[in-house]
Amino acid sequence: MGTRGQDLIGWFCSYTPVELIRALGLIPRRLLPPPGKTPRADTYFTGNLCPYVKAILENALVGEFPALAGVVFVASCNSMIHLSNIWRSLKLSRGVWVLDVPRRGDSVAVHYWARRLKDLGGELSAFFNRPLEEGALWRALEEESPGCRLERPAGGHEPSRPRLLLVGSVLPDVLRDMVEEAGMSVAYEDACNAGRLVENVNLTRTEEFAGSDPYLSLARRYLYKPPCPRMVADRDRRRAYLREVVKTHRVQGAVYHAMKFCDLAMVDFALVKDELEGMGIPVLKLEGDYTCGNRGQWATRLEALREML
Amino acid sequence: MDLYPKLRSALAEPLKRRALHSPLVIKLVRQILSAQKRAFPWEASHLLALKAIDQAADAFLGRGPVVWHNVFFPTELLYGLGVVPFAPEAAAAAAVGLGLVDEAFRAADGRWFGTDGCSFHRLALGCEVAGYFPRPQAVVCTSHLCDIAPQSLALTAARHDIPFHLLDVPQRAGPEETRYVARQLKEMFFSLAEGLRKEPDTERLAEALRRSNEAREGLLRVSRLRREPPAVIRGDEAHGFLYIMLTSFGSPWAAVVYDKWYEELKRRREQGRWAVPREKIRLLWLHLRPYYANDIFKILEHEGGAVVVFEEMNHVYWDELDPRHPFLSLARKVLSHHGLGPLEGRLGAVKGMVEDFGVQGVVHFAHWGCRQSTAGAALIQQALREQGIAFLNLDGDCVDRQKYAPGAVRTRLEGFLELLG
Repeated sequence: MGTRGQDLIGWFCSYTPVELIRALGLIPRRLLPPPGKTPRADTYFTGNLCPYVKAILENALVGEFPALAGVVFVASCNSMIHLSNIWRSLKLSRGVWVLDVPRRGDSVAVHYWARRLKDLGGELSAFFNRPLEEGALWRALEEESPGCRLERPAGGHEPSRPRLLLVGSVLPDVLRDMVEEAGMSVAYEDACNAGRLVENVNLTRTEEFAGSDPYLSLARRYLYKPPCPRMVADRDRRRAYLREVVKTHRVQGAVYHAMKFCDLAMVDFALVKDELEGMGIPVLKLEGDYTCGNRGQWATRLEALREML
Repeated sequence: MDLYPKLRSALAEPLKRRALHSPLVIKLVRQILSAQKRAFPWEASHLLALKAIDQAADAFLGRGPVVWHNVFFPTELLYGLGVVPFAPEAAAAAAVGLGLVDEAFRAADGRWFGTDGCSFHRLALGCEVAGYFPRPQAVVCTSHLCDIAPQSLALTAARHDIPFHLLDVPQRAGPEETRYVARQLKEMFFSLAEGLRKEPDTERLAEALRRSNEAREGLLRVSRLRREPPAVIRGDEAHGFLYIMLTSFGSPWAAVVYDKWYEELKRRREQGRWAVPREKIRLLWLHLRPYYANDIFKILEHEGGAVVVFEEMNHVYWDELDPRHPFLSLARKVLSHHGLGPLEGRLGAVKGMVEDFGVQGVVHFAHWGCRQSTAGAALIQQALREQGIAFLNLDGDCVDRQKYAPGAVRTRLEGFLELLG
């Protein structure tokens, strides 16, 4: 392992507090596996499990990820929790941390999570034998400004093209290309590798930095960001967020990319469909298994959506 | 048992949904059930069925505010509030016996609830949409162990435009987590009381905890007795008692049923009435069993002399509750579930059961759609095999008969019995 590997901390979920990692002088690296089949991971997991999680394990097993000093998992769903179990069991990295994230965004949850974040900071600090200073965390909070982690910025739009909202957990790159090939444009992406990662639509920086506890600020930053479907006690906020996105980005249609065997997406789709169709926005559901093997079917259905719009 | 055909015929009429809300029909069903004592293999299971129907009657006839809950929710809180608890997941299992599956699945499909998820929830949603379940006045749910339960129950609450209370349960079980969960429970108790116009009587809550402790003690007595070979109760019969664990802790009758069950187990042991004529193999069952007619237990018992002597779901994982500190105590109970946290917790509990019950093999029923249980099966299998314990991962579905392949199941079971023989 080179110098860089000694400092590299892998992460997967948009609720990972990367500022905490940076404040320790470590480098957070999101591990997004490329789409593909997962023959090795299939020996550890049953068939009906999240294909994205399987793809992560597959990449780790074949050594496709960079050398890592550790990985911070977020206990976001059962698939991710079991991935952390297998990761530890197979010793796929030297350090493994599993962080709970509340499924609610109220004051009780914020205060609990702030203490939990402080614990995690202490555990990382002890493991790497580096002090975690509040000043460094404040600086990381300032530096890690909203927008800097956008991996696939929303592209430009031709005025004549219908404007689409893409919704899903992890959106495949190929879907964006296919939307454009079908004569539409992507106005906004609500996904944990896009919009949910970067925007703080309900939070001003004054609110975020209120008080003198950086862990409380960190907890607020993440629990008040656009909610993921797992934030089940925050469904009203998710509805409001979707309405705001439609209005702000002048959305005319939506595509919901549901990852196969994702319980959260399965039920969230009903919420999104009800909310958007109530606003007169048609919603197309496309199912994906993280192999991009069903492109033909997707193309046909996207063309049908284009005609409708 | 010919009970279900009788109930089915009573419901198979155009007004069957309305029949569930009719005091006359419910009274009739209870009378039929009451007279069917001999149809039950155990007096305790007959008593349990009567108590369950009384509970359902309270919900369907609206004898109090109906609160829906998931099966991992600490029901002591609801009994302590004096509301009528209703568990849609448990009711879904009953719906299988009542022949409502096809209709309910069609109704759920219309709500975009696909076949990739847990069929308990698909069935529960369908039953609710089709009008087979009582209308809730509030919904409570924990976030632990099952990803789909909070999602599905939140959807129900939104559809009925009623409050949804989430008990957020972390994976960790430290002092911070206990306080966090306890605080939510306390808020929930007073908020439900206010919303449902119930007196937030903390003495009644303490009483529910005392009853829960009595039931816990009763189940522990039953479990200790079941450790002794040979087994006196067949595996699928014992599974029937899980209803209490999933819905009734804190109720006035849970301990009564367990006590009855204990007395019967003891009597049959004294009489030498064994589950199978000659017990050869003792098995532990992980997760739930299928609720439709199947041959699994028959094949194990008749062809291999193999008896399921204990069920993971009947495992008492929590310490005695302290009625003086109800919220902290219930928080500790929720957080001590062996399925929470790293897999080592579940593995340790399973190993403990293997040792306590002297089993030679473990059957994990991999219910389609349950990521919590099935995704950990490979590591559990590996760990048990290292200890010389045979492990069978039996794919299937607890409520969807379409996913039951009798031929494949028989082949798997025969192979497993051969390995154990």
